[in-house]
Amino acid sequence: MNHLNGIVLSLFLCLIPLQHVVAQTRILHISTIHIQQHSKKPLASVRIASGNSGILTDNTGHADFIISISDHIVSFSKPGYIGGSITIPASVNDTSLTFIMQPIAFQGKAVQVTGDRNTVYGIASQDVNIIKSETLDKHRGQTLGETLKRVTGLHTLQTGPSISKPVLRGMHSQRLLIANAGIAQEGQQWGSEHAPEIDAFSIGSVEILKGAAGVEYGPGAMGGMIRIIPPDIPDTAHFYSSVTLQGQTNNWQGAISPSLSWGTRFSNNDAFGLRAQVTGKQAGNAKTADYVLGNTGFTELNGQLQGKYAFSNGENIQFTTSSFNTELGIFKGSHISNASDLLRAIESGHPLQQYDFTYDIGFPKQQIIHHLLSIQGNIPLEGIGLLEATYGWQFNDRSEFDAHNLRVPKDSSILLEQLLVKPAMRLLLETYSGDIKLKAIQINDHISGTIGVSSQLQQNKRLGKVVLIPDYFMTALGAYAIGNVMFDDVIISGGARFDTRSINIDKYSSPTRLINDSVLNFSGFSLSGGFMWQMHEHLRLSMNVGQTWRPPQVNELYSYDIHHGTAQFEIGKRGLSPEQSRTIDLALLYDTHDCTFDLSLFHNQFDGFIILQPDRARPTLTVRGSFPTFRYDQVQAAMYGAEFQGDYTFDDWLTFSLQGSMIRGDNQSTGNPLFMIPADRMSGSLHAHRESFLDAFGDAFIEFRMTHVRRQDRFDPNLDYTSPPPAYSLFDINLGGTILHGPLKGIATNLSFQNIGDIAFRDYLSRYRYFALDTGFNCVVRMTIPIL
Amino acid sequence: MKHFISSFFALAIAIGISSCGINDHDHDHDQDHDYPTTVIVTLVNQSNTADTINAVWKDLDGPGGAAPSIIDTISLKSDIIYIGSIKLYNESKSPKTDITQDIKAYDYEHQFFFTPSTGIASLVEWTITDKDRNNLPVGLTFQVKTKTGAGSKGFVNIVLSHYDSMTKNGSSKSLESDIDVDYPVIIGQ
Repeated sequence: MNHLNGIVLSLFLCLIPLQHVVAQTRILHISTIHIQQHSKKPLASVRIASGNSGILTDNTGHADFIISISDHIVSFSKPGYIGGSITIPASVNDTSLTFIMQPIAFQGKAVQVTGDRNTVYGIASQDVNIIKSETLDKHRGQTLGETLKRVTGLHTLQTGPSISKPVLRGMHSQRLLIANAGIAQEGQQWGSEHAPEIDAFSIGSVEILKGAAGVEYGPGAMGGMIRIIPPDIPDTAHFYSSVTLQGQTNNWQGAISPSLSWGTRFSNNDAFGLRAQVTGKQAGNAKTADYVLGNTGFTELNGQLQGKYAFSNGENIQFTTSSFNTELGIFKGSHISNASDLLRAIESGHPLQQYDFTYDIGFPKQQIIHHLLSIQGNIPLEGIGLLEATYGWQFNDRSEFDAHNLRVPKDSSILLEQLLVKPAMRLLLETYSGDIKLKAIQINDHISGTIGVSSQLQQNKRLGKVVLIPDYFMTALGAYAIGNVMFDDVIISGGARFDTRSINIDKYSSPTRLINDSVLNFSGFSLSGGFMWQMHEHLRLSMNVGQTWRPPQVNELYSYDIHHGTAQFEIGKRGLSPEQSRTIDLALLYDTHDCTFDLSLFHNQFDGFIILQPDRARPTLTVRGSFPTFRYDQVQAAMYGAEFQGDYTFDDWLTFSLQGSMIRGDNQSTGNPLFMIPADRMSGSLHAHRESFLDAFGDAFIEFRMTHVRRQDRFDPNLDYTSPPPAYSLFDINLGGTILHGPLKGIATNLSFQNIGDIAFRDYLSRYRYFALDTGFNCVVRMTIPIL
Repeated sequence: MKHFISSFFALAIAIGISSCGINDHDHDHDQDHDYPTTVIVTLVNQSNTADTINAVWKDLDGPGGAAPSIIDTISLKSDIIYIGSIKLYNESKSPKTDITQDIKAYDYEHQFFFTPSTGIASLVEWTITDKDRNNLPVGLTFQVKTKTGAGSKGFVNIVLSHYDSMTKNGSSKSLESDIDVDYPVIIGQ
């Protein structure tokens, strides 16, 4: 290994001949690892070739490559590296080999993992951002939204400390798809105070696809896609267990997450592995710089079990099953009845009541249960490609409890107690999905493709007294094809997809509303294409265009109630047509050993953008006061912006990073800015890293970070009760390492100080900004202790 | 391999069938939201009990839908003391429920606020006469004292504050208004 260059590529080849299929071919399961200063990274886009066929490793460094028994020589190459080849004996059953690939130029450096190509799975010309397990480890214990916040262009829609929802390039909820273990996460994601029901402790890695991902993932992925990948399951003889502990001072949160993984390889070379993890978390009331936020505590209890059986012929079947259970308090000071109450809360500037710290969760609150089962099978088809089938089942049970149930008579206190334990609204959502795709279809040396079909059945049931959305039964079908043409320095990609969905709405009538639609049908095409061009050894340019659509959601069609958080009377529009979006994005990546710089520009043009518009002429007069009326409507809109990220490393240990994002949103029908577009954000950090620090800590680091968020000065005063909050700057320090010696050897520990200075601030995307400040100083301790 | 494919899909279908369908037995399509639909303000002339005003504010279909069907004008005589009370009902169902009783039972969690608009504020004095167990005003009964008006018009805003997330102190409204209605008022017509 060459430590001076610091760059070693090891190519791990595992050869298993297909025994009972066709004796003339065998499959190479290739995984590449890029080793740099003791941190292992998979290396993507390594070209593997033999005879007339070739394949690129994907962004996890893997590739499944089929060669015939007669082919002995496999070559590997990557721009910027000295390639090579290896001779594989025809008789080999199982072999592992290591290579060292030298960079061509002296300072040459591998393309960073963030910004690698999504080669095997879909549109290869689009960049995918990957957050690896090691990075995630530094943020374990926070909500998923918080964990993702550091990715340029990702923001969070926050409803207090326990509910945070990712926003990608200004889009969220029904415009941003979150997939977990290979299936689209289906909760009640239309609600902005409904966070994704995923345990942040049991995530292996996260892939973020910015820009239209509708061709691969369907209408929900208009604004992009966040793919949650569960941790790896061992496929060799292996036993490992560890426990992760986390604690923080702001809300005195404590979390424990033990995990266990076990694997074995049988004498016939089949491999079987299992992994289990349980997470428990409890948090009390959070604190801002000035006061305690009453009733913001929460508890979580989650479990996940994964398994994988890999046949020696390359077939495998794996499953992930998980259960997510949470109970979370809703800040009492945000529980208002009408617009005058809201204005009174804004005028007061702080909560009207003093609260003390407690772990108790009172009313109002939410209880959410989410069960997920995903089963995936992979079958390499000789001479055709890789067949992948995924079956998914999800059950989401959301209960929302009012502070006091206004809607029931208080005839007796016993009756009231009984009624209070019943949720004011309970929604049950059950989703089945089936996807089959044939990927890595190698048409010739340059052209590869993926085709697939996907289906979904979904049933929604409502219980309780609040009718926010009707009961429905939905069926969805989609089919797509993607092609990639790859040359040494250019990839050209294109894809098309057709989707159709049919929604059966249950008839419903009450004194105020009548829903009498039987069936709604929506269908449409998604298209996408682009190129990625390695212009120079260090410089890459990519451009992608896409056309996607999404059908209106049931809440957009049928809402007819007061939205308590915003004191608006929201009215759905039955005749909404699908929303169309046309996206163009341009990305430039400069990458050398010391320096990376990534700039992207994007523009989304919407046709029939579904939006809540104020109907000022007709406020809704009720016995509980007058509410501004908002109606769902469709307008012409555009969202556009720029993101950049730059890193410079001095002397291989000190890295200076700068990142920023700017997003603009316009309602072109009125000429006003769109509501709740993230404010401009910039952050800078100085990160020092040592392989060994004082001979006591391995992989030690310290990082200082400053984040500045500008005031959102583009807003429509008619859409809001108050103008956006002022700009703010926050300072954080993170440090950590792995203990190298002594009885605590192997323990990875990490300490973070967030919002140093206990700055009082309000974020524009915080739904509590009308009522209270965002959270103040926080000190977080994390520790992962290997047990066996 | 074929065997593997078929067993995988058989498994998928088996799971699909076994887990199909949300249990229907707890399905509650209850529609009777028990919000107040009707507010009745009763004012009795202290010197002539036959002179009684019953002013109704009624919105039978609840929030949204049709506009309130009745909003009576409270027509007050000049220089009179009225003894007043307020009642709340839900008339959207049969039999109607008397929400006033709930408020009385939990009077320490409720308070009415009567706020005349600026045009008539100097002509009318609205005083709460009942107290809860903590000796704080409630507002189910009150006294209204008028001065000399000459057909002066305005509104009285009536808010019923519910104190669940904050403590009732007798002077501050809460952020949870159970009712918030405006009655037109004429004094000395």
